[in-house]
Amino acid sequence: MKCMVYLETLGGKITPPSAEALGAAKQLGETMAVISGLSASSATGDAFGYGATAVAVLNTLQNEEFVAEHFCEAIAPFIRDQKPDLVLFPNSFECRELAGMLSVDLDSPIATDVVRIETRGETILVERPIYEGKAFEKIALGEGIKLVTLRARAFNQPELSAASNGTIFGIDMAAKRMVEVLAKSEAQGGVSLSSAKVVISGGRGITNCKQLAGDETASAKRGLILLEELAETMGGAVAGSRAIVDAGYLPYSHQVGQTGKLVSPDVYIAAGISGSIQHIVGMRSSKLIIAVNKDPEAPIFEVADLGVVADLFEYLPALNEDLKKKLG
Amino acid sequence: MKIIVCVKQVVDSEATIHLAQDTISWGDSPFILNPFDEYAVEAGLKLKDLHNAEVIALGIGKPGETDALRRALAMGADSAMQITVEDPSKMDTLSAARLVSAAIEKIGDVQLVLFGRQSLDSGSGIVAAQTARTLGWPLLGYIGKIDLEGDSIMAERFLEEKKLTIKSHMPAAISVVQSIGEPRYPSFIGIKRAQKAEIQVMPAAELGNYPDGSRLLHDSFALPLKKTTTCEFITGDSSSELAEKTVQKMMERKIL
Repeated sequence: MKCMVYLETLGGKITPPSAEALGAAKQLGETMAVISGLSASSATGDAFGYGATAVAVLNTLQNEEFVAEHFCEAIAPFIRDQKPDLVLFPNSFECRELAGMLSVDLDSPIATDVVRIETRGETILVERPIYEGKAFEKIALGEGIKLVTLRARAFNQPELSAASNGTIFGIDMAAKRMVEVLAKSEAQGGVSLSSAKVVISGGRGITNCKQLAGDETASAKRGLILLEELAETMGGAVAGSRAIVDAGYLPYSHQVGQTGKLVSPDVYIAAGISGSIQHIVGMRSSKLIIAVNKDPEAPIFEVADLGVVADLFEYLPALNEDLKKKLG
Repeated sequence: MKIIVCVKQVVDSEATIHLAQDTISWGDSPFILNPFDEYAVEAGLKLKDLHNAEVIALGIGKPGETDALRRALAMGADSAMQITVEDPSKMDTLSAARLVSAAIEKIGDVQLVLFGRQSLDSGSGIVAAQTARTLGWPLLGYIGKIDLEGDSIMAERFLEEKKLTIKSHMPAAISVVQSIGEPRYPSFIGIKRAQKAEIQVMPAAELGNYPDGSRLLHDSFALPLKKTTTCEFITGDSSSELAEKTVQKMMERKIL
């Protein structure tokens, strides 16, 4: 099978979900990587190291931001020329836009948020969550160049080998520009929520600190600091329930649950989250769920593996101290 | 100015899914307007308030399945239209985008088509991009703020770890995220009006690209593995004891 993988980079490095996609493709056959822009120089070597046999570099302009139309316009003809059986993407917002547009140009079967790929003879089948992960559907992909985006952390990241050479192609950008990017602000550092191995999540409980009785905002600020400190110690990302996001304490991109993100880290710590069904659908596939709540009857304990009935403002700092000691 | 808001009818989150003979059912759980689409309706109504636009809710579904469209009407949409298909399960995202695009061309003179960022049920999150590409319109994706001036659109695009200010022109497709603001609740009068409103029907077959269902073929459904463990409560007399025991448990499970 001939595969192609679209790789995203961050700070010149291939992102973990992109490396996972490369790993998944390598299992299926010979794989060419497509990588965008100036960030490509160091990432190109790594793409070979992760197992790509060829790399196509999209010749974007200096500091050119991703715009799905512009990338689609350039990549669609290249895919048509190369005729891969399958093109894999990480399931980021940007890649879903790009893959969606490519499906129109290539008249392709497309499946997003895929958690498993299997082959049956010549047929490729994919499994993806539906109804917020309450069920899974297995689908056979029909005729044409198949486009598939992969959920972060559903596939293993391959080892990075020393190989750093191979065939390099160039893809020229089309001249047409439909959308202009005027300004950009980036969150500094931090770990991406959907690919984080550890997620420290806060709920309404963080707005209710005993020592700051009555002052919700001050409580939330202190609570968030505790979440951030723990996230830093554990190398994780901070998240929140809808209540915290709606109150403006965290940007909506950090919301876990129905209208937010679905995450499945190795460890999910739910602090002061009561556990509405809307929140639970977003985190229940986490490997280890630790819930801390003052209320022993909170529904979050029904999905938790480990439960702690305690005041999070006392428990989280103690947990952080102990972890720091043990992790040295 | 004509604004189309695409809405989908989905099963409520509270519903319990049952699976038998590879058929999914959810008891008598009600259908709701896809929560992500509520933000798109809200975006349309905000533009209506500011620019005197006409807001048309557009859905695809079986004849008579109009709960989501009526919710959009109750919130304040001017009218509603339904592309009717006999068997929506035969429809993939590309068929849906082509049907929506054909309907938009038939309606004519549309300046904006708004989408929620994904549906609650299939959760593909690509129909906005596919529709934009099919129509040849620019896509403004994951938008939390929209400013119109003449033909130009300034918008704020919210990605996972960054925010962009982007500029484009109408006609355009926009996918909306929740930074747009809380969706308004329908008024009593709105609900009454929506119950009585006539919903214009466009049979898919009349729009050309009738979904053929050949690109994606259903194989099987499965339920996630049930968690077999019950919650193990950690007990202790002090926070530090609780913390120490938690870390011990994490180490036993080789998580650290």
